[in-house]
Amino acid sequence: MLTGAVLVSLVVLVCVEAFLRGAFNYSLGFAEELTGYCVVFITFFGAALALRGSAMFQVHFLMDRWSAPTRRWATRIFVIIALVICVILAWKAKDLTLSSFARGKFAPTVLRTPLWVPQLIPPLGFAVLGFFLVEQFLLTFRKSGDKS
Amino acid sequence: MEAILAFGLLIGLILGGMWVQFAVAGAGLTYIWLLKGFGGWKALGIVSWGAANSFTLAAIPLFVLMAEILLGSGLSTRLYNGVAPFMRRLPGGLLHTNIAGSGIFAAISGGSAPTAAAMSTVALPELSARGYNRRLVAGSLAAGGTLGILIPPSITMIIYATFTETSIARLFAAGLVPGILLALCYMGFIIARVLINPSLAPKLETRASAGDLGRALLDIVPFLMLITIVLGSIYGGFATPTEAGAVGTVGAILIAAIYRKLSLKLIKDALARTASMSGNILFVVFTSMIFAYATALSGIGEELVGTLENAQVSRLTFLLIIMVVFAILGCFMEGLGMIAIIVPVIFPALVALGVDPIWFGVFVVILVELGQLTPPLGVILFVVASSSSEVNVEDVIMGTLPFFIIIVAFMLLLIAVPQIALFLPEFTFG
Repeated sequence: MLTGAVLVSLVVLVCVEAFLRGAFNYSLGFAEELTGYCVVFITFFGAALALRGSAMFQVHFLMDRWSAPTRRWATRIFVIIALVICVILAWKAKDLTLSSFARGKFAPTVLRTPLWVPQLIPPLGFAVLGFFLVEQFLLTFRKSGDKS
Repeated sequence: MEAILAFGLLIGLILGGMWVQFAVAGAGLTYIWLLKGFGGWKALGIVSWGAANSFTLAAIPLFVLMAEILLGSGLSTRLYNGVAPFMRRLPGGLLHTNIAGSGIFAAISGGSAPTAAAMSTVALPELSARGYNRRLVAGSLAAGGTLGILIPPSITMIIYATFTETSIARLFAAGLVPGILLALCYMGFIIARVLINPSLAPKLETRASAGDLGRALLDIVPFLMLITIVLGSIYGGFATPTEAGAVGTVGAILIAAIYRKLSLKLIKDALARTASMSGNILFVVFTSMIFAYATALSGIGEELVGTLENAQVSRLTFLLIIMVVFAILGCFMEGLGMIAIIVPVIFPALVALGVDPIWFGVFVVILVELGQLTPPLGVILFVVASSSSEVNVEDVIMGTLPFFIIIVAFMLLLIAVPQIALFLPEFTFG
């Protein structure tokens, strides 16, 4: 829902900027900055949606040949590796956010956005991805469930 | 040694069935650790922020949304029916509609899967019922689908541009002529096949009346207007690709409204699919940036240049090697990931060998097209096969084989005559 709202905002923002620039030779001055933040949001929260909807890119042709228990174990191992990756990247993203906050950094644009605000998106996004990874892990213990 | 371990891990994880994005990130993190230890991860925060925070990449969700609105509104049926009367008299009849319809849809869609899906769902049941050879039908639809990433707008080109810092507008211009020529090659092949073996397609004797053609034209006009607005604004320098994507999305909503297909459900569904699909693609780009950072740290690109210079490898040999590498990788790697991983490594070598980066963008997109037609991962094969119970994957693979050969031959032609791709960007942008 929220990702959909961000997408709509993206369309409106870019359209308004294109119209104003084309028709009145006037730029909002912040469209490019906010568009970038929208992309960051869609990257992480869209990826989380893809993971939850089993739509994240995956090569199945070897996995499909394995027995169901082997597949479940492989999925568990992959989830654990992915969780470790999420933690490392979330940690590094958090460091950047805290650094921007401590140094009082802001975007060099008309909005002068405190950078730690949009930089919160990656750590939060990794947290959501991690949450859905745990869900995938738990799903492998379902008796009839063979979602992986 | 580090490179071999990192690429080995990457391929192993992907083949094992791990999510491609996490496999790329994991291999990237390992690569950095092998090169610099844990200290190498220090810059990851700023690297990943820079990778995700991009105005250029905003074009991806916008072009996906535009295609999803048109696809979800069922307007591909109207497009198909609009093109059909103009094509039916050619030997092969409605098979040409598959190619021409795909070509037009490709010009309003950034990807191959939506293009193949748009035409397959309409054409497969229709043409099978009319007695067309189902393998030829499936092959033409799969081949037509590949035009989705060659004829602009193209998400694959946007990603190539992101990793090579080339102009998206120039790339879009460079893809147009090869896309049209490739479509004509497909149509030429269909004509030849049907002339040799007329039983492959029924002969349509009835001539479309002027009224039929007029009504058909009315069905296509909105799509042509949308193409003109999207591509015209980019080529004319009035809008960036991102702005053209946003305007195109509004145009797609207007077309859906004109044909009374617009509803809240349509928009909600399109937004949901776009969010998931765009997140999927953008997260590939994001994780690949981490891998690209690792390859930049390793200096493997420069090493490759040195190796090629020492071995005195010519431009032609290098390009043929690239074709083989992509053909092999295309069997088990997703196309966007392939570009994001391989291109940063080979790019310095391309520059050293004097290969035009815009031309190479088109070349590499056609290589990705081949990957999309290669089992076991060929995404288009499965899109076409899943569109109707009339065909199975084997039919699609067998039907696609001749088109695969046409694409390879076309690539060799592109190597021999680079102006096929470079003429339009030079003419348009100087």
